[in-house]
Amino acid sequence: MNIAKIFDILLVDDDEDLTNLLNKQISGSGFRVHIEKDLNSAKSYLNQHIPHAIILDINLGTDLSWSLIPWIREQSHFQTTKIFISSSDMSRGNILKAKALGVDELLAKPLNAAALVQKLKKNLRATEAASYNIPHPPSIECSLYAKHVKINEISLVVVAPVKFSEKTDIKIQSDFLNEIRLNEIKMRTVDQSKPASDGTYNTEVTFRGMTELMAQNIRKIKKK
Amino acid sequence: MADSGKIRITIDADLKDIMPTFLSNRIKDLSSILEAIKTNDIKTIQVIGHKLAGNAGSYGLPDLGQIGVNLEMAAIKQDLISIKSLLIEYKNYMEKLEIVYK
Repeated sequence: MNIAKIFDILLVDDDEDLTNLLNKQISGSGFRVHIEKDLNSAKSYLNQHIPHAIILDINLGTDLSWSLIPWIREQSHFQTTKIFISSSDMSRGNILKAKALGVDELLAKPLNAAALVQKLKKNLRATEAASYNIPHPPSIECSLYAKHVKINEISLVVVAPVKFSEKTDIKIQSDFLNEIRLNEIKMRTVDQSKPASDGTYNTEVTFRGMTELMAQNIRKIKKK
Repeated sequence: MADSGKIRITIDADLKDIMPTFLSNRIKDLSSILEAIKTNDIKTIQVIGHKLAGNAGSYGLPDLGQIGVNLEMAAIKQDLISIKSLLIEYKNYMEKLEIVYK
């Protein structure tokens, strides 16, 4: 399946004529452009947002924008954010400084929008499917349809399209278990699930806290 | 491009909606530069030249961008004679400019 992805671009430039032009020409190519005109407003924006790429004019009126680059690079949540700098001064000093600060692309002014779009696409292709490790992974609740095929006073066998590889507490909502008063009992899988057929697995689930009434209800089923 | 003294430039029709604002801002530049010359505000002239150098080429007007480059350089050198001459060049360019959208 093809999913159209929109990339967020922060454009920092004090030239309104240029930002109007770039916003118009870039926005139609799969990018959502946000514009800031100075370093302070750019920092405020970055305190709330994590764009995929930043296009930074290195000469913002009286401010030089170099200081923003280490500020961005020091923050781990911008690790995949690409930094482009734009300048009409492509001197050797500026090129070396940009490389030393970890700038991804240097753009010579006047900017060519078509070339800029190509560079954005090239640089952002790698981040399109970037995966991130979740620190302290939280537990999540999953639900799925399953069949219970065997039951005794100790355990239940369910067939489901999921393979349990370790002992896991589970909950089963079932009219059948409600009828025999087992809807509130605690359940835990035993060992690993075993392959059944068509991508399903047999999983044995033990009961904890079985009462005599519950056990009698199970024995009644077995007699049927 | 020159026809009866006109400077005819062909621009992508996609820019038709933003081009008038760009051109109107250039007319404002001319009066700002004139005012800056009167008050000896060289920094303002440098900023105008710098922006023009950075944006005009992107709008498809590289010759105008070059006027911006020269204006910025003249301001850095505090060369008022060149600044006045470039102001006339800038004004002439704007008067002769004729945009054709394709």
